Amino acid sequence: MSVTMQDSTPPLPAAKRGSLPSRVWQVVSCNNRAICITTAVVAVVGTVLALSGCAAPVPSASTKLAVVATTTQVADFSRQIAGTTATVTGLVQANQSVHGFDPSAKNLLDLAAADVLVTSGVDLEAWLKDAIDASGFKGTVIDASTGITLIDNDPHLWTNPANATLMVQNIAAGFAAAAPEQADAFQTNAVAYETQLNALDGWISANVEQVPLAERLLVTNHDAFTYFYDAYDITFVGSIIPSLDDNAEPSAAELDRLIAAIKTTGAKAVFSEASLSPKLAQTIAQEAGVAVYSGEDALYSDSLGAAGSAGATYISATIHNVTVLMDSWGYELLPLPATLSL
Amino acid sequence: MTFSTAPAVLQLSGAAFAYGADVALDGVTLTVHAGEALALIGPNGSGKSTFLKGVLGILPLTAGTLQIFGTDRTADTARSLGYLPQSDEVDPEFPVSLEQVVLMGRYRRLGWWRLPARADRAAAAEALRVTGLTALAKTRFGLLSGGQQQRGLLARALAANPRMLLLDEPFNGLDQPNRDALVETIRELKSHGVAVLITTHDLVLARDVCDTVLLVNGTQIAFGTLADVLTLENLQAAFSGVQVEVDEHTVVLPGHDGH
Amino acid sequence: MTVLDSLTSAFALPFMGRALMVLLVLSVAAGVIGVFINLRGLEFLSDGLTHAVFPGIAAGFVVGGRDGLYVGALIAAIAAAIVLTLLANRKVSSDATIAIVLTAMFSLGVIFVSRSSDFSGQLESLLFGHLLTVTATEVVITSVVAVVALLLMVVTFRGQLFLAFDRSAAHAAGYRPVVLNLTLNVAIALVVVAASSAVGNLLVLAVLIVPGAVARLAAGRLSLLFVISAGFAMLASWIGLAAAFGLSVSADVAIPGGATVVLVFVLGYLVVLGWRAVRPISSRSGPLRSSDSRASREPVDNHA
Repeated sequence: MSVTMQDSTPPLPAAKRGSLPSRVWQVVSCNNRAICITTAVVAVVGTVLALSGCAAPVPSASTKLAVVATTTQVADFSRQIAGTTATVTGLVQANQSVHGFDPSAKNLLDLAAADVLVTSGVDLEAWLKDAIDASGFKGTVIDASTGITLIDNDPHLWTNPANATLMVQNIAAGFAAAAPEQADAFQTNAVAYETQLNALDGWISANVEQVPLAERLLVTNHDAFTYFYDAYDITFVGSIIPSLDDNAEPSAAELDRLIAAIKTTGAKAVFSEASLSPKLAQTIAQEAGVAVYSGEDALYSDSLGAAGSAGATYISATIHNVTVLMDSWGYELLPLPATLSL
Repeated sequence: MTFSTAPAVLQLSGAAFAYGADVALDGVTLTVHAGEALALIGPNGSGKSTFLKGVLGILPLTAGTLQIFGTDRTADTARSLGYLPQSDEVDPEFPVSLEQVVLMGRYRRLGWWRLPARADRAAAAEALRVTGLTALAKTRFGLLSGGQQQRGLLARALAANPRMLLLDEPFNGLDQPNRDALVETIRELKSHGVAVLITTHDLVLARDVCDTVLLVNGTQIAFGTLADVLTLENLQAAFSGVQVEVDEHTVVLPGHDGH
Repeated sequence: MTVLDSLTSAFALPFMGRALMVLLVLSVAAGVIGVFINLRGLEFLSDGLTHAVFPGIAAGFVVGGRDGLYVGALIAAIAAAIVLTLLANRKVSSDATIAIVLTAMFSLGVIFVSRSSDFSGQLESLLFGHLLTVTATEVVITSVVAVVALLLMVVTFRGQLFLAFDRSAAHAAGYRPVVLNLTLNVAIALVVVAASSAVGNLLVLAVLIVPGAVARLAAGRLSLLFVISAGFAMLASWIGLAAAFGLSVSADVAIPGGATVVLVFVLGYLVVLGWRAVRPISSRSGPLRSSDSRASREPVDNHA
């Protein structure tokens, strides 16, 4: 029996048996490639971290007030007030969900560079605190809902134009405090816009008053219009998703209740909402034997429409909503006052 | 040859082993001494592998007594046992070299924090030498031939310097040269005082290597020397209803030649 | 904002630094554990654990908000790991068991979320993570949980390896398969918990599985597997995060950070897969040619 032993490991250096250096050397030489790759990875990571310490992206300096607004509605209000005196950037875009919003890197950079942050308030933006922390925003937060009477902690304040006016006043005051030199410009813009909002309120009232109380019925996709019903004495028959959040799924019992309510009250239509899928509304309408307003005829609720659509601004969105509502009730729409002609 | 002067390394009395509620093997009473080889013979499913797993402690002892190295099982017992399972349980794609597989036999000694020391590598190298696999140490295990893998797993069992070896169907799938090599290896181990338990279907090899035989079929049929155990009556009891491969070399009692 | 900026200086921004930190820590833990998942074919079990942890995440979030998330998740993780380990010992097909546990637990989680407060919009955050807005606290929690998972594997490393290679021999040698399986399952579950804030419950599976699969494709040697797995995960995390940043800032394309990272993981896998298809692994070590693998041709004179 003679066996040639193949010794493929390099000879160990002369060292005391069991001493640490020899054992480390054993590991290093036996796992050469593993060590090399580990070192390379560590080097790359280290380089990245080192280079990241160098010039961070610097936001461009500007003398204009930098405003970031959360929802499409307060972004619209902000733009109306700001005019050309301040730059307004919106976070949530048209048809994006406010509830489940995940800020992108650009959102966070915009926030970091902002002087002022306008929020809709009433905890509508649950993600906001983390976004502020993550971006390192150091400016002022303007809560547009300050001082507005809430109904059941519902955050959809803006659906009542009177509330919208209050929100505008809050925002204008906030801008003025942040940039006193431009306070006059903001005030002028705000007043002009408020005039339009008042005209809007009056026009809606005049329209709705044509409709007998018993026929002022509304079925929506989710509970987004509480302040609207309250302002104009409209009866809320029910909503498909009985929640302030657009993300839930209704149970069978809830759907049955709604269909029964529709039939009892004699509601003539079910309204879908522009930012949501119309399928539920279509199904309910079919079950109850009533009309469904979806697609282009859907209501603008949580979100304004995209640029160029019928609901791109708060005023145009509200006018659209009232138009389809009057159509569903079967009453003629009164002409718009001069101040609101688009 | 008698081994009554060598210490008993394994003693069972009325032992039974079960998979959960199913008793797989019972009524086992036997003694194995250092340097002895015991052959376990019986049809498929008769409890041969069960016996090995019971001795190893993988299966629980549900009746009787079992003493290993003169005492009940301790935490250290496993370190003195070497086990060669049936090799079809091994994943051929596993990215380990033969050397690393053999080193696994030393793992229990190393615990989780110690790196393999010179002694461990030397034991692995010796095990490879004994099984004639030194040249293939760096080859990926799955690339070895069936016979080489078998020997590699044997080397793993040997690397721990066991006092008792348990081999489950070690001759399966081996061609003649490899079988001869394995027989040689077993003989050498026996001469060093290692006890060997071997399950096999091959009565020829059992006769060549083993000193005692345990015949089972769900229960112990017979235990003793080959002559005592491999009688026609015992074999019929063990293999009743099962086709036995018998050639003229089996069932040879001392003093008789074929039939 | 050049590509180089995205890859380097962008990480000076605090939110990018935190996101990278979380991903790097996860990469190391998931990289090591992922190799074992690959070696033992536990991908479906990992999927089961991922879904089974979800109700804990949801319940914890409902009860205690963002901080309660981890407590609930940890409880569910340990419970799920124990249940799946014990069930695996029975004779029922383990895939069927996993599927049943997975779907039951996940449905439970969805019910929790839907019955909770009105603002269940946080569901998306739980499922897909909020990589760019991880807080400093979350970085710490994630790191601690991931390190614990890694330590569990380090301490049981040899046993896990032996068990993965040859279960009965490992058992015979004195290792206890149930304990080792439980340890591995708990480690997987902990990584799921740790990753839930960064990449979310649904996408953590990619972080667990892809690096191990890439390593297996790229290397034939055990020691390299772990290094390549963790290294790939770190590299892909870096690139994915940079891509999410660059696309958002330069092109105004807002892709969620977690999803972008996972996408880079998968693309990386496809690249390695393609490379391997062009250059297959040959028998790189030892004198035996792969074509002879099943023939017994070795002369048997080298024995005692």
